[in-house]
Amino acid sequence: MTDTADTDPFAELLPGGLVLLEHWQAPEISVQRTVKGAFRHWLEQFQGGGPEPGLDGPEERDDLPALADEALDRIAPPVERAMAPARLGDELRRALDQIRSVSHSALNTVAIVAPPFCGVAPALAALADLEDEGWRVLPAPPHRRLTATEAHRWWSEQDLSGRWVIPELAHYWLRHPDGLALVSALFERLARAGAEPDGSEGLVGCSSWCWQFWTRYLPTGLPLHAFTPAPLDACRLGTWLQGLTLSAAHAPLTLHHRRDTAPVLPRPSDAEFRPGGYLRELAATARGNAGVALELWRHALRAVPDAPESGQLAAQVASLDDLSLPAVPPDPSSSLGFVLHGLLQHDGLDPDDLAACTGLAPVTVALSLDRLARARLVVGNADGVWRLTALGYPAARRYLQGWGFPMDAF
Amino acid sequence: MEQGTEALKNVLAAMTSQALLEAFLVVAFAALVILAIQKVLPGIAARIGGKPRLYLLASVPLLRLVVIVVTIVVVVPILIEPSFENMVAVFGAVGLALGFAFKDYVSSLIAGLVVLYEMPYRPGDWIEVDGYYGEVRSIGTRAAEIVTPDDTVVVIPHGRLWTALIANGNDGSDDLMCVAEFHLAPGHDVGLVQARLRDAAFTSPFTKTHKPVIVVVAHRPWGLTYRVKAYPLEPRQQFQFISDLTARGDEVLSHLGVEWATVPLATNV
Repeated sequence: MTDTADTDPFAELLPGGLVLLEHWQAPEISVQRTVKGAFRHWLEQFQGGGPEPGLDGPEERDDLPALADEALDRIAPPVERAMAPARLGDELRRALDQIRSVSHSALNTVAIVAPPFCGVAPALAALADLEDEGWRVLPAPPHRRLTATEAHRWWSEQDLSGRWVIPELAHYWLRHPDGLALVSALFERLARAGAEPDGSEGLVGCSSWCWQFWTRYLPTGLPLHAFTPAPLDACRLGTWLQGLTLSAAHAPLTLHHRRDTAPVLPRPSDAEFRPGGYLRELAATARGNAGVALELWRHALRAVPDAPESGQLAAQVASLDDLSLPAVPPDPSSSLGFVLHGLLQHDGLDPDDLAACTGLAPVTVALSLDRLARARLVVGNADGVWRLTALGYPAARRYLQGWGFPMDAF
Repeated sequence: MEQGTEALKNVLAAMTSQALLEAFLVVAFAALVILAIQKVLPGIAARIGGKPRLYLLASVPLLRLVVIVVTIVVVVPILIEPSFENMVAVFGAVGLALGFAFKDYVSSLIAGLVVLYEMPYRPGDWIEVDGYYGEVRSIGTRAAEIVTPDDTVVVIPHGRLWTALIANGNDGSDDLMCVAEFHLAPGHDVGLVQARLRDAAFTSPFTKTHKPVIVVVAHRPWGLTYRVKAYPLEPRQQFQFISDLTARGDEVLSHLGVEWATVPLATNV
């Protein structure tokens, strides 16, 4: 955390710090919201996943004017900026120190398990940039499919002494019979090191979907102490979003829901903040996931039609029900589900690895990715790696849950 | 007996054409509702997956029973005075006629009610009755329809419930264990083969990894038989799943260089 964090509670980057994995709980959701969400999901499935977005993007369901990009970025910066890896990495380090101070066990290796879009992997990668900490980032292997002998050889070539970091374990394996050796070999080494501590300290970032697979694959338990960022409940979420607004706008900004006069976010002067229904819904819809909540929040911000043009920021908040969110198109063949699940388990994959992981033909993978991209559920980067979008994550998760896929705990 | 016949005559004589018309309209309306339930709910169920699909399918026969009971409750007072004597006369006569003329039919009807109560099979279940294996598509008043993997509809009267052995693969849940078999020649590392077959099953995208994945091995006259047991995401995927397990298993075994067992063909002399 930077100096501002000590003076400004709104600038906290890891609200709630790290908690034990078993202590994580999803924010409470109202019955009304559950029923409404389930009905909407069913309706979308029945109607065929909703309308295809046009060239200008999907039309919103409300009649509020869109907020200019510049104003939007000032009020709610994009996820990459809001969760600046270096700052979040610093915050993680502080949380880890806190864990060490209260833990009574020999803490050789710690896993930070987090759902997608929480910004943990880039933050862990940024730990290496911290001065005088001595953290070393282990590079991901060039190939994920290795034999057991090759995997052991690869690990023996890595320097696991001192302080080392694996930013994302999901990049070290492939859901394929030949793709499990590297992580299996790592766990074997960690288990042996745990029995005979050598003073080294490891930090392993792990996507919650990857963690789910490996805890099932190795049911005797993984040789790591698992922590996770505390879920953003409505109160923490409100404070965090207000902090982003303050740091970006440099001036107090009061945001109102379009149908309500009460401010959505806490004022800096509020001694005790009681979050309203909107924040509770937002926290529950995002399941306490900071990245998803921020993306939904950005999507909900609208311009104020009769705002004075004095250069002062003004915005209002659209209802979550009015947002046009991505929906998974119906697919009787399960291909879309396999692709989504594969992408989540590996924190993104290129089409070749995706084909090997899902067992689908390359043409089916390409068609599925195209369909999911048009539905704004996935996006490819310059390296040809496809990932889910934060905005599409809730719909993808609900879809996978509905079709019986193994789910993460978040 | 004569008194009963006389009472039945009196009951029938008291029926007016208007009452018959009203009763007919009520029955026709109920039939339409049942038809809608039987068409719409399975249609919706086909578009969703997991447990909600099974719940929706299972609700069809229950809703139909509710509609039938409500229809009887509405129609009887329209046709006859619902006194004790009249009821005994009408239902006694109807029961006697059905009992003699349609013994098997009535047996199936009663078994149909038992099916709804005991639920030995529900729509969406994968069952085997008299050598026929398939998914229960619908449960009618008299019979159940199952669809075999070869897309053949087999009608099974509920009356078979009394005598036949019914094997139910998933029993109302979406957990259906599948087994893929591999027959190998002896002389290989059994532990390694077990581990690699488990890997093959665990990495199948169809596998429910939160359910057990087990590999059992047994000696056979020709060598060793490995049985990989796992659960697919959906019972409907069982054949794709077994194919996928077999293909993945074959691939890992080929890489290990394990020889397949050659089974001598039996010949009739």
